[in-house]
Amino acid sequence: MPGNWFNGLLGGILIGLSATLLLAANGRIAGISGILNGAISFVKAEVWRWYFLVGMLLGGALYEFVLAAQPTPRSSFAPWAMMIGGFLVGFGTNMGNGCTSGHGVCGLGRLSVRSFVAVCTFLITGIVTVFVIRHGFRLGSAT
Amino acid sequence: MMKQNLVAMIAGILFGLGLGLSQMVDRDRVLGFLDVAGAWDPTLLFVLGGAVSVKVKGPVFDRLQHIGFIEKLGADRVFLSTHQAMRHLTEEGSMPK
Repeated sequence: MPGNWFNGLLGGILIGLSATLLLAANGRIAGISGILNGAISFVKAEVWRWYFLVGMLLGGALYEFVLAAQPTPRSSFAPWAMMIGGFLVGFGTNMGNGCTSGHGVCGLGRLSVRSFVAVCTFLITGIVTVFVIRHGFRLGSAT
Repeated sequence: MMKQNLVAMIAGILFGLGLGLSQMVDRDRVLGFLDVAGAWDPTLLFVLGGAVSVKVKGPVFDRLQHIGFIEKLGADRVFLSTHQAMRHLTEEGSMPK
């Protein structure tokens, strides 16, 4: 679909603005896994994390129900696969100090070597995993 | 405290809008980027590129600094990861162990 890359760029710029705002004004990194991780420790001084998460849901809903030209397609994955995937993401982002947004957007944006290593690692691992599952085992929707 | 929450809410809305607009809420689009041997979808690269281009060392941050935004509304301290923040808060006692 043409125009995809442009929307991607525009969306990326919004994400960059969000991360810049949060770092400049609050001194915090807009890493979603980290924000969630801190949020579920339920500390009063860290209640801003819930505001961010609620805001993110509102922003997503605003796009989906107001701005989107067509509804976002929903593909269904097996619940057990989602649970294993979610567990691995939680485990790995905690161990690696960040996720796609934390390392990929915030870390690369401030030229962090640790984040560069993390991004290379999870992109390569992701590519290998998708290759093995889609083209090795021929599972999932290989389009 | 109020300011911190308001900023976080606005940042969250921007982030959610960005995820929606860039279609990174669609799992197939993310998987499409990782599927280099299939119908490769480069969109995620543009998302990361767009995001990184305005980030900390980018033109937007410089501009904010230039107009004094950082001084007026700026963070009094900066944490570069959740682990770092939580460790610090535990040490200074504002968070129970």
